[in-house]
Amino acid sequence: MRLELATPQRLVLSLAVRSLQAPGADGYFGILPGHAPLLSLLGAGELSYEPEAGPESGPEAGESRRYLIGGGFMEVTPDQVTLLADVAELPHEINAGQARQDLAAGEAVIRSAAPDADYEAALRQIALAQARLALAEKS
Amino acid sequence: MANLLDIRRRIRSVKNTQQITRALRMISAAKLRRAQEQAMAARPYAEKLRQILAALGDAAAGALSAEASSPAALAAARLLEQRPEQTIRVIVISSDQGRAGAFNTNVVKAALEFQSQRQAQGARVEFDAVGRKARDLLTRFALAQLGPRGREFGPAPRLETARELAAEAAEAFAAGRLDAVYLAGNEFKNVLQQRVRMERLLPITAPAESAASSLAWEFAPSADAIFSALLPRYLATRIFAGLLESFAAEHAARMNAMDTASRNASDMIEALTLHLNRVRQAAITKEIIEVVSGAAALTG
Repeated sequence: MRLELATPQRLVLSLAVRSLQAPGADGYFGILPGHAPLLSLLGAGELSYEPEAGPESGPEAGESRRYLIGGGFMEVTPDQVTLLADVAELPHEINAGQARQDLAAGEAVIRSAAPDADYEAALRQIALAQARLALAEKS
Repeated sequence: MANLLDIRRRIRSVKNTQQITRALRMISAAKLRRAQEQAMAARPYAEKLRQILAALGDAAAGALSAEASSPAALAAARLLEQRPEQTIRVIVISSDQGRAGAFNTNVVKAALEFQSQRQAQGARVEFDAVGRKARDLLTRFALAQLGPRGREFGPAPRLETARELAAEAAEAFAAGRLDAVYLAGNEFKNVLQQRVRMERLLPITAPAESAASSLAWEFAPSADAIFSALLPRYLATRIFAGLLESFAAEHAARMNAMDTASRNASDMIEALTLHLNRVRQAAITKEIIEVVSGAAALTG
């Protein structure tokens, strides 16, 4: 099964995998080859995958098999999974200090209870910051 | 007859200019390579997004207009609405800096032509600009009302800029303040040629059907939710692609302009050097004649 991860700027990953877990909008998906066609929204969280052994595994073999994903889409067909993510970062690329600031700023918006505040955007910001911090602490 | 010192000074000044144009040419060549790489790298995402929209297009659009459920889905559905084009915004992409031949004037000219054409049909056309040049040129033509303030391009194409432009345009379109949004920008055809392209961004027309649509898709959480998340991203991606394209074209144009300038400087140095030698020779000849005729007068 082929996994492709792309952001608006570049193609991040393209390799053969045995299985993968991706953060859907309402919880994690575990995907194995032969999955039924699925289109899903992505939430903020951790993408992890198990590369297939052999020359196909690409330059990423042996490197981190985790990525931070923040929003976007996932398209699943029986032999390919394509993730179109707004954000994709390796654990060591995560800026924990910035994430903590974003988290605090998001929570401040929620606490302000202003009638014209964009709560959805604030909630998204909080979820992304929390996912970043969780992954940064793990590695 | 021109003074020798003046000519030498002139040659030195042209040489200095040539050094600058040569350096600029080299900088642009390097930036062009990076711009092309960036544009290539952004392609897989844009391509896939377009495919998903094509696959989703018909099914979801039908479902949306019939029984759009959430307010977000309703707002997204409005982006597809075809209305008579009364108020139009053209987003003009240029560069921040000149020294690129006709690069900026071409795109501004195309935008102004589009305006006069549409105004003849009774529509109102306003502009938004990315890049200092388009902003300044459009503001100078008194006829052109610049809708939003316009913004700078920055040192490289930014996804953030594309997202902001998309959000502003989508918001104004959904609210009915705009009936259509166009994007005008230079397209990178090859290193020697740039072409101005004008494309309609809003209302969004779903791209043509692809083979993938025959699959029986499952949607999570719902087709509505995916569709309403997809459209704004599709819009931003198209603007971003336009920025990348224009950036590559800008550096190709500047490379050519600076190449021509360097060559012109060479020609000028050559002509001036020839002139310098002639003048110097003439002076020497004159001195010899003076000496010889002076001597002749003494002996005679």
